[in-house]
Amino acid sequence: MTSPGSALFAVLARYVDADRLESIVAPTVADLQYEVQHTGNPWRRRLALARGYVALGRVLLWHGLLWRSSMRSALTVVLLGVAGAALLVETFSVTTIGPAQISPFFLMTVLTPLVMRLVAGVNTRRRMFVNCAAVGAVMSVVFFGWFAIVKNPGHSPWYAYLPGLLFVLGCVALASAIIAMVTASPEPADARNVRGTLLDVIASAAAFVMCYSLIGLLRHHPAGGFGVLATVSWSVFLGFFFVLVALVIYLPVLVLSRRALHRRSRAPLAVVGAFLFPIPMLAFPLLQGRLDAITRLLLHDPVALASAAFPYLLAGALLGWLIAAPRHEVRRAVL
Amino acid sequence: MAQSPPPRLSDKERLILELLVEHGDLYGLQLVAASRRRLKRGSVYVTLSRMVEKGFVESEPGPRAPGETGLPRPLYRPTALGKRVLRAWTTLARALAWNQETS
Repeated sequence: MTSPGSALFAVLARYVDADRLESIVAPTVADLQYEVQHTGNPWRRRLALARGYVALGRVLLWHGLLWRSSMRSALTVVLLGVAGAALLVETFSVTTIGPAQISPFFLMTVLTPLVMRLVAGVNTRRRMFVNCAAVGAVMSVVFFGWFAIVKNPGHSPWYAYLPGLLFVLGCVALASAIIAMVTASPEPADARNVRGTLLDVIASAAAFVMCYSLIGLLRHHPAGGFGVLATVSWSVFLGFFFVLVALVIYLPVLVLSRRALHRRSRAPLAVVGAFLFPIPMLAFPLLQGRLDAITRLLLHDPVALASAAFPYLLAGALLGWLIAAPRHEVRRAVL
Repeated sequence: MAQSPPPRLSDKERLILELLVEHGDLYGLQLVAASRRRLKRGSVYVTLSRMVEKGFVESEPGPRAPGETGLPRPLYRPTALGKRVLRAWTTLARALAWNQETS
């Protein structure tokens, strides 16, 4: 029979650096084993075991031993996944608007590659794909678990949720593949050396989201938390579309414009960006067949028109400005 | 020639040195027990590890009873530097207390 804690110690030996393993983890596990061996009463033995594992947990988590180890990537995935699932639970609890409910997925689509690159140093396509897919999988599984056990208990057997979960996991895998293709770069990834066009897009999308949220909150004066959450959820949702449209359509236009104009011609590119980005806003009412009515409504309310267009103008201008800047200035602006 | 700064001693480090000087060589768990809850099981080895790096204490695997299995428990003892730092710290603390009383 093996001593208690030895299996955990063998796992930790793979991840914690040798000095800390020898000086901190090994004595903590040795104390656990000593106490369990020298306690006769079975209940006291269980208590000693529990106290030993609590002490080990404190050493690993409270004192950040794992955080400094190569398990940092796995911990980041779990933290992001659980945070995303908590956001999903929150949005499903307070709103029935579909896009607002699933907006945490869009937020994580933008946040995960950035965090994985900055915190865990993920810089290859394969690792980026695996990590993004893992974050989405943690989010999906935790969320479906909450939905089946807490939100909808006894409504359907657990396997009734499997098709839905598999569909979401398929979407996560596809999105992760796209993210990995776009964001992974073999360049060293630390806070001082983050490059990539995606950061320009994300910086302008973040400006859009902040601006949209602030204008929405100031204009609508929400009475309770629901209004705040719905406004922020919508801004994240639209920000995601902003990123998609920017990546697929306007970024190539802006990059080509940079070459055609001049590398350092910031103002012209900012103007091009500002005029390009309100266009997708018109696509929504056009597809819904309500463009005419909404145009008339906005033209009768100049303040509404200005506040609706401003976030797009600002974010587009910022993107054009950042694209025109030399790389080191982009880094300074973003970080 | 530039002088190196004097060694710093935190409250927990001072407590551990006092316990080791008073009781002799001790295991981590014995330090926790002797400290009357001022040291915690989850943090005592973090402090001890720092003290070993500073050269205040040293450790060696403790003796094992026949049939005992598992990882060896380290036994800690103060080094000459650790004892000197504790003496200096105690003298300084007393001097400061005496100054406060007389001023």
